[in-house]
Amino acid sequence: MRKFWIFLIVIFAMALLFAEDGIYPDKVVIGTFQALSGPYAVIGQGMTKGMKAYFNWVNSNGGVHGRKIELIVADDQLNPSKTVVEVKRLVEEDKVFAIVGGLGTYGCLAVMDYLNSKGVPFVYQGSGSSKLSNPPKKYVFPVQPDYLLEGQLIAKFLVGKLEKKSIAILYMNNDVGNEGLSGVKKRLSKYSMSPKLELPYNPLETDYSSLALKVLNANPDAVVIYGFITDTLRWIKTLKDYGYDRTIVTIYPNADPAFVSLGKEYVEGVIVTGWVPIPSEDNPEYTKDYQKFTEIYQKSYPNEIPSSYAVAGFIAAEVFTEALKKAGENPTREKLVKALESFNHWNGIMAKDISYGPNKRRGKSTMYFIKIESGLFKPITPLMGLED
Amino acid sequence: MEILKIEDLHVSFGGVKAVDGLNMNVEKGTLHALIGPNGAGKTTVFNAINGIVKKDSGRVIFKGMDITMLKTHRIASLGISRVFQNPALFKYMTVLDNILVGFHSKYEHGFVDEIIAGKKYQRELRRALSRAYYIADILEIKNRMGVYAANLPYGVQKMVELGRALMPEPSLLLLDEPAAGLSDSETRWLLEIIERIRNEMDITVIMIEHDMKLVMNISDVITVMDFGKKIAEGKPNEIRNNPEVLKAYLGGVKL
Amino acid sequence: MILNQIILGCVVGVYYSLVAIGLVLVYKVSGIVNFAYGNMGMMGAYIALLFLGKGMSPLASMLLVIPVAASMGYVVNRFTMRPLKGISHSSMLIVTLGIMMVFEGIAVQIFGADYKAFPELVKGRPFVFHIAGGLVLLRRQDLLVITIFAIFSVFMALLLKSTKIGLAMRAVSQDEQTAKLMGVNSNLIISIAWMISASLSAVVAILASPKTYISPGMMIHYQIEGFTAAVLGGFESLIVAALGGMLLGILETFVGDQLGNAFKPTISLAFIVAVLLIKPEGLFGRRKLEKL
Repeated sequence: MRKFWIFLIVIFAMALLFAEDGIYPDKVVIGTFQALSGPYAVIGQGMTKGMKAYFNWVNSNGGVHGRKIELIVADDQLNPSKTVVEVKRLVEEDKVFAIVGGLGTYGCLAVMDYLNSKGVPFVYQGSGSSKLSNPPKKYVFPVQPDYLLEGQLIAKFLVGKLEKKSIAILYMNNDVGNEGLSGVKKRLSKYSMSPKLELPYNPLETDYSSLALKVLNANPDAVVIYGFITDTLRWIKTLKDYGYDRTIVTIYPNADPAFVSLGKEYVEGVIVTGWVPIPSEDNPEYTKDYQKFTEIYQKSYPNEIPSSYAVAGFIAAEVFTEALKKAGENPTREKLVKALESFNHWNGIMAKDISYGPNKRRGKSTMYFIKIESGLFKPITPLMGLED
Repeated sequence: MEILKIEDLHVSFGGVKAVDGLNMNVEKGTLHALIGPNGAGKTTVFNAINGIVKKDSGRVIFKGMDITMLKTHRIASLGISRVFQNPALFKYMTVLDNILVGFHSKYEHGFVDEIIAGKKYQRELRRALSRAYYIADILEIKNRMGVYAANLPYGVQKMVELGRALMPEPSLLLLDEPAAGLSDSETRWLLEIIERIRNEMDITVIMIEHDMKLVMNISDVITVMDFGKKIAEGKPNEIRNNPEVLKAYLGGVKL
Repeated sequence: MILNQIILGCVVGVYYSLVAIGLVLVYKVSGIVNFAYGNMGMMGAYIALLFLGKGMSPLASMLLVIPVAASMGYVVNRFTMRPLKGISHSSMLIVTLGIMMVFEGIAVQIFGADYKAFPELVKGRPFVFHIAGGLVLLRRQDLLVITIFAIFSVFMALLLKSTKIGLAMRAVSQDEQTAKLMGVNSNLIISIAWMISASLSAVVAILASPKTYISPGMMIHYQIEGFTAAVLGGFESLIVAALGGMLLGILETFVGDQLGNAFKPTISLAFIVAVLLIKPEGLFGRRKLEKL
């Protein structure tokens, strides 16, 4: 009998020794880093709520293979130096199984190589940097489309579809803006075109009146704005006040209800890109999906209208949960990677058309275009890729 | 009748006793000199009266009211004015504005009157201006009223400071070495003015001064301090011949 | 075109000027560089939003916020700054930085982090002028800000020039101890300066919010630019701080126009460093005559 106990203890010890970090008999512990305070708290809070809402829902339905998902949220205030510290703590002290849905380009880039070398899966980054997917890294799985892709698609849309002849690009003087600029230029060169005007700007500045004069002088057929909600709105207001009434295209972070509620009549007719399905008459199935999403969200946050950042967090949680399911009864990090690599145009509730492969890490290669009409987002194209 | 009474005053700075059990009575309408060697604690006595330094113990009674624990600005409003050894003028203000600040506690109008520039405010402003010019006339600084204080010669700065101190019609004036740094002719003129202050304006004066000739000339009472203690007190004649004073302070030189 | 840029620069700069005036006012009277200044205004903007939600007009909301903001200024000064009086300047700076973060945290907790809109006080299409072969666009709200700036400047000038309180403020700013000996209640005067400053910050935040939108971080840019404007003026006088703000606005507009927008922050900062190297007392601090 004593031998049996010793045998059991040895087995147990070995199980502990070889057990994957973050995997327990009754739960899976994962981590994320978000800006819960500081100037970007609006994004981090939204994204965190989206993730929590989905995990709460999964857990209340019994979890994944009997394990509940436990999410540890580290507040890095979108400060990359804090991100590094927080992520190391998540990996080395909290022993998380994976990092899911970290927010911010600089933070994600700062911890990307560390996580990859430690073999910790890093699923979904709240960032559009193409450096996350290119070159591919075994443990890093971006979901959001990158700005390089988006820029090319915008150029394709403007020139290929709308047949615009001259395009001005107004871009934040940071990585987001620069990547978008190079994306647009890359595609324009295919049509042997170049931008009529490339205008970098500081998103913190509060008045673009004098810069708008440059746009007016260039008089482009279409203006592409690579900015986030408030600075993009400042641009649109200024341009429209100056009498500019042609096509304005901006990027997917602005496909947010707040963009319309803050911009009001000024954003009428503005075109934004999208990668998350939105309900419309043409896509009745999306309406159902959106209702389901709202229902799940409001179980955790009653009466709250989810922001687009909440959608992003929700999708991050969806992708991870699906991979965890596929990884089987006894998940390991290697099994999770294999599971993710088997995604082939996978559709969840809000996550749509996500694919990975053994050496393919750009999860999302298609986007579509949305026009704001009477305060509503109306899709005007189907999902478009770079090919065709 | 005494206007100011100091009872067993103790003030120390980090263990050093600056004033050590001082008792002093100042009679109304007198010119009371406070003398003693450097470091005797004279200026500290002034600071204690003004409420600038913390008192360890003792009381200061002004017009029968205990002002020991009052705040500096409250004490000033009760009618005690101070003139520093080195002029502490507001350098970036004109002479007129400097003098007007002295009237601060005498204005009778409120904040709202100022905002709407009402009748009361205008009356008070006229009152302040007329007093400022009256004093400037006596001190002969009338033609300097528009000059910034920082640009004035030393002697004039002292006059402006004196003028500022006289603005609120104080009943007690503390003069800290008024003659220091002045030329002989300026000192003579100052003497005249101090006598006018006491006689015509009915202001009691306590004066710290090193110029013995001046002190002996105009003082009614002299208090002599050494090492924070009072070592003698009396009329100029008595002090002149007091052996204690001669020994401790005057180094044996006969005045 | 130069005229256009100057006009547009002034429109940008007038906000910096107002912020700089509030910063300098408190600095001159109490010796504190208040980094929490902008966030006090941010709190004011949120409170205005509450009034607006109760059905009040935007103007009434803004006017009602003024006494609230003034009380906030009073409380911050009374319960953090005054008890700490006498600690070093750098420690004081850290304290105001801390208060800045506290305000931000409170705002995130109470009001959430998402952007909110406060309507313009004066609605209507902006005026578009054709000047010197170019366009100049003037928003009605910006014109209102310029008007408020002008009125506030005259108000402050009169207050400081010829009132008991104003004279006392100047006296305290130059020599607090002596001012006390003149019967000036310096604590009261410092409180008044904080109250005026906090009210001003709230008004700026509310007026700027159609551009910045209300969020916990809405005043960061103005705080930095206003501080820069104040440094340009050597933290010396209100007038000079106001000039510094205008100059900064014009400078930024010119650099953005002539040298490219990417240079803007660099050139502005380089200019300030140059000013401080050549004239540490500030660009206009030639003779320190009038300090307030």
